[in-house]
Amino acid sequence: MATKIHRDIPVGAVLLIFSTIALYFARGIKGEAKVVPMALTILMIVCALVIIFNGIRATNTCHGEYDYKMKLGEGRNAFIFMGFIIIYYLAFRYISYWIATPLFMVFAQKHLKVKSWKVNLAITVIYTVFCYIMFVVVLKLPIYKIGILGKYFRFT
Amino acid sequence: MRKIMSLALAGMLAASLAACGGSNTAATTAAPAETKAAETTAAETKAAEETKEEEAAAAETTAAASEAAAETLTGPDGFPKDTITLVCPFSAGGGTDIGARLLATSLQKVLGVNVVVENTTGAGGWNAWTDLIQGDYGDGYTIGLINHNYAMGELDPENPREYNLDDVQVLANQALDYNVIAFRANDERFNDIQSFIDYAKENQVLISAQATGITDGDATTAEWFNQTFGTQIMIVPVDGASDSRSMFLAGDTDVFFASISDVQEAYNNGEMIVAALFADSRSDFMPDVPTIEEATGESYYGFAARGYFYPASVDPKIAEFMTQAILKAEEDPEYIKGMEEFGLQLDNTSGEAYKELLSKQKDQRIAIWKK
Amino acid sequence: MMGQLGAALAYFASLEVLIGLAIGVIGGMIIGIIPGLGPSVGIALLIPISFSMSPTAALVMMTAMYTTGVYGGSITAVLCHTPGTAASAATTMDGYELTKQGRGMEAITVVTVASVFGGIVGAVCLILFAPMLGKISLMFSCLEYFLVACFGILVVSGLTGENRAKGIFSALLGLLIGCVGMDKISGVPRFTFGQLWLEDGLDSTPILIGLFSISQVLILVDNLLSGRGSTIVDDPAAGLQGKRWEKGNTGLLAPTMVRSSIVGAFIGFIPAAGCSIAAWISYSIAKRTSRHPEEYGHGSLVGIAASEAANNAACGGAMIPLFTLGIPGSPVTAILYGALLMHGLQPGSGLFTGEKAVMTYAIFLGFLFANVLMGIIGVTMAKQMARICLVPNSVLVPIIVALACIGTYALSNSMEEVVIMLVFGVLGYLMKVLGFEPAPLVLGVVLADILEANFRRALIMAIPKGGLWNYFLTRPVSMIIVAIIVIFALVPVLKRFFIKTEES
Repeated sequence: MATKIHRDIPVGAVLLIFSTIALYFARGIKGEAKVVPMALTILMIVCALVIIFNGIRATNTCHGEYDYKMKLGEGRNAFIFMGFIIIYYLAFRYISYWIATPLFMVFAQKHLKVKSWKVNLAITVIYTVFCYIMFVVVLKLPIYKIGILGKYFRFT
Repeated sequence: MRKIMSLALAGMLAASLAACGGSNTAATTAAPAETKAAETTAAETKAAEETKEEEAAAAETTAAASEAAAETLTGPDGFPKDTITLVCPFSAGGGTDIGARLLATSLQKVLGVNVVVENTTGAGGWNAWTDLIQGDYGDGYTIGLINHNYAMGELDPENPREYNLDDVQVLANQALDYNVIAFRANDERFNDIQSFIDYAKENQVLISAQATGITDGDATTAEWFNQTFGTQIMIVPVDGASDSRSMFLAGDTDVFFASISDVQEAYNNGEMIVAALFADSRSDFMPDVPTIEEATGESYYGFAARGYFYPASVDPKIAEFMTQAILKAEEDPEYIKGMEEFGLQLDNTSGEAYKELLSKQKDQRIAIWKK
Repeated sequence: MMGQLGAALAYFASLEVLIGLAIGVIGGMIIGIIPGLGPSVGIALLIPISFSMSPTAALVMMTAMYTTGVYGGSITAVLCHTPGTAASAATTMDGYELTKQGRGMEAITVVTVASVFGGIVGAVCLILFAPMLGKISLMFSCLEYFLVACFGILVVSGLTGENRAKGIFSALLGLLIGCVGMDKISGVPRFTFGQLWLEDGLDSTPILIGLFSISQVLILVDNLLSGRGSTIVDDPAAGLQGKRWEKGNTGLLAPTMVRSSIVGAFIGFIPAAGCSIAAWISYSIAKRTSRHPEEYGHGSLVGIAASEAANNAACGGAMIPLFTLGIPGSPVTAILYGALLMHGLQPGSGLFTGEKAVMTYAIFLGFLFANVLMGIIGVTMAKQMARICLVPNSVLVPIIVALACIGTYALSNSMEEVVIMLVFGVLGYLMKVLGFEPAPLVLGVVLADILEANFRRALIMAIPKGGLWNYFLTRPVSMIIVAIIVIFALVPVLKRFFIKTEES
């Protein structure tokens, strides 16, 4: 039976928990600054309850056959790629953008099935050089501060 | 098909690259001060200046500038050998940022190395200050920008800051902007400080300030007024100086608590009456404006200041050298001209005296708010 | 004034000014295309470069970048669901639908034409009416800003999508996110958990990039790897369809463009409102008054034209209070304010008399030319730009991710912004899967600031006047805005009434 309830019920429940936690923190704010956050979180709780209520109604009327446009379970690939992006971010933050980006580009393109290595490498190199010229040479972003190897990519 | 697509993409990227390259060369030619050596800068600006101005003073200016460019200062152990970074805690294009950029340009001439300004914004400057104090900046190649708000940070009742003047080595000040009180020229209710005080005793008057408490200079001045004269001044908290200005011009606030540079233009063209200056002596910029002591018999001073500092970890010898370098850079006529155009008053208090100046204002604020 | 305009034209004989114009236009388009980088970052980055330029060249360059940066952000919004700034977010929904149908070229052309039209209207307002309109902008204050933001909330209510409760929840979440940081009035930290980087609150741009671009990237990856299409266009074999400009378009779009440009210029010149609010309000007015509101969000050309004309017109509008009174209403104009001072041009009536007036009008003309130049580049490049959607997603996706990361970093040189963007990327994906609309969240974040702080300021300002109601009665502009809000809210009812009477 548990598989048959409309997904809005658990979604609404998560939102309800989130809003309640937010309300708890909003209560802790000093003085009149807390009025608006508290009002907002209370309204959010109401909305979450309406979402749950709609979910229950849908569960009762549709008897477990729902027409979802997209399903979370089908998004496995998206979550794997999200992992890619997170690794990329960590490499950006702790190594350097100019090391992380070419590696990410090559692996991501491979992962996304770019067959030709030539195309893959060409795009990676062109992109990296373009960005280096744009952000470091022309715009002088202090991106050398990021990552342990960043300082080797400073352009002065 | 796939190949064509890839080719198209590669072509596009190349095209944008070329476009970027175009703007790149143009940018570097337009900004010689950023990359080239000091001599060329001086020469080029000289050329640019001479086309613009025909004053006799210009010749003097450029002569002094090239003289300054000829001899560069070198500190202990050949310091500095590499690019110096000036960290501005406020966003690019703001008054503080432009002052820093003017100084960077003249400091570059004094030191003979590149001086670049970087903006690390956020948390009213505390993002940058915390990073500079906590981070690994002991080599002296990173200079921080400090202002009067830094000294007040630890007093913030809602959000007290961890650091104060003892955690930094103060180098030299750059600008000192005394506070004033101004009225609209067409205001019929009051036109001098006495009539204002009389009015404000009977009626509530609005001013704008960036905060309502001890951390804000204008709010402190208002509090002082209320305590000393029994006025009923109320504060509308706003985001920035320009909001204050527009609200005052629109008549949403009654009086304008501001700095000299904020009101200079409006004072010159008669749009505003500057009623009093919160300083020990009159200002050269508006000599007919009395100090608050002359106007009311009560003494009070308030100012905005901004200068430069090193984290405590920097070698005091380097700090001493850099103080001298900044003081020399502040004598550059081109720098002085730039600062005056921007309406900023120069000040070159340095070292302990500068620290004392900031502490003095802090102590005054504590005294006012304790009552 | 005509004499001054003529004299101002002479400035454009100078090579430096022309180079400034070209850098501004092309650089602005490139900056706008990169997610995260918008006109405000672009102009801030130009400050050091412009230091040694002549005032006219520097300001022409910067104002040109303002308008083209807003335009550039819309190109990628249409083609890759990657709006550069919140000002282009309203264009995203319809534009991207068109691109998917293979009509990217047409969409880009409409974006360009509408942007140029809006930009020119803004520039003409600036040139002809600046001193006059400047005085009007002083009639707006905290209460009026608050009411304009209320109008924005009403706009949000039209964007909630199929599931109302979910839409309202995202709007509320956006407003709550807008509360993060130091309270503007009392200085109390809210939801900062002791983190310095949260004190200024969360900027809407990384949230926008996360919700729109990264979440879309994840959907593209999902489709790609599960074999449901490898390009943005639904049917790549058919290639690009349609012409640049269908015959009926002029008649179809002209009324909307005119109305949206005027609305945009007007909202732009209210300090504190800005391009993004102008775009959303104009989009929503077009939708409410349309006979086919159901087309909006599914590839409506009129919808694109409405938001694009408005956001570029707002650029010109926003410069009116800046030049006439020295009131910068947005981050971009705040930087321009600094640039004006840096070049010895103190904003105020002094800029419109005597010698300086020629310089001022030269800057305005530069802004006008920038819009025209941007249109020429845009229309000629429309086909090439539209080809982006034929590029395989396997190549496009890594580029968008890498650009979004460096772009959000550049926003304020902080890695925290990148974290925020990625978190909202994941959140945006989940929202899409679970049927929540992202647009109300972004608009909530944009509005929260204006809404709360200004209402509380208005309360303080009302005290000497004897309370909020009495204060309201002394403010004619507030009353007008309230009237507009009421009319706007009643439009659907009125429309139904008119249709009924027509039928009977």
